[in-house]
Amino acid sequence: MKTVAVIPAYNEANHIADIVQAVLPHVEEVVVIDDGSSDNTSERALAAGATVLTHVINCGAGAATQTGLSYALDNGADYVVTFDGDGQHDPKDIPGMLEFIQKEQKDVVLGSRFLKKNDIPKLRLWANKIANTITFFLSGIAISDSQSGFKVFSRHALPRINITANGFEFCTEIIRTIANENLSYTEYPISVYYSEESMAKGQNFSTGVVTVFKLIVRSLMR
Amino acid sequence: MPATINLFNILVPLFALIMIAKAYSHFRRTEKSLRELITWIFIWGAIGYIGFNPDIVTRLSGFLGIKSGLNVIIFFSIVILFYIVFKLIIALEQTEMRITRLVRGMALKNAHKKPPGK
Repeated sequence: MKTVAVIPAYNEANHIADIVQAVLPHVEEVVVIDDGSSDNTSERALAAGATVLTHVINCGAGAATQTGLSYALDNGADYVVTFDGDGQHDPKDIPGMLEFIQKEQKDVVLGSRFLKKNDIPKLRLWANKIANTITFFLSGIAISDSQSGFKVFSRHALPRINITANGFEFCTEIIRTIANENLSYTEYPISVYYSEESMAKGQNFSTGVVTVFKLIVRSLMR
Repeated sequence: MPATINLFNILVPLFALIMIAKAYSHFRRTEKSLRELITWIFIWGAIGYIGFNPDIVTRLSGFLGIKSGLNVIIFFSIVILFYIVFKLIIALEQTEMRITRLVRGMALKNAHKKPPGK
């Protein structure tokens, strides 16, 4: 059974080596997608033992994730774990999620920060509630954490996931694909650690507004 | 047919005709679909006709129940502008998608792996 971890990273030279080394014991291959970083994210990830795919320009977390999923599909992965590159996720959750997807025989397992006691800033909490509501209206699926980057996909799900959204709206797009493709899914409680750096890089109010706007435009384009 | 012909009645239809010719030229070069060509012919045709015969707006305002003919023009202008802005946003999104596909293709072609044993 081949398991690949996909880690999109943009200017994560400070953390990426530690993350790769912490994830590697739980999977067969770690793929870091350097999304047009201006620092030496690629070199650090490569030295830490990851396969590195480099975007020549910054395209966004959605585009980087899809590059990683395409690579995993082409290279015969049975399971793919998507994991944030800013150090907010705990690699120790990976074995539990992999065991869970096999035991439950689901196509997708969605990591949820809200099914476990985590220290989450209030603003994030409310932003996520709004995102969950929008995701529900667009997909018909009600989940506790629609914007989590920590997910596991089965071989069956991989070719059906085709992320076209470049930015953070890709999380909602994945949920919509789960609904449209009738993929089975479940949630799994995960740990999350927010640092000042990860707070600055993640979604904020303005990116949230852009995300909602893009979701509406993309819905009209369909 | 207007009772007296002003410069305005000639310039606007002429400009509309040029725009239709441009749209047709884009269509011939397969840069526009037939649906887009028809849409532009409809929009510029209507603008050209209103320019040639502005009285139609007064009749249209009576028909629509909008008091002033000028308001009809402003209303339709806003609708058309919204349509154009929406088309532009979609075109931008599609261009972004094409660039992303290119970037992703390049990344997948040039995957870097750590040589074994290092």
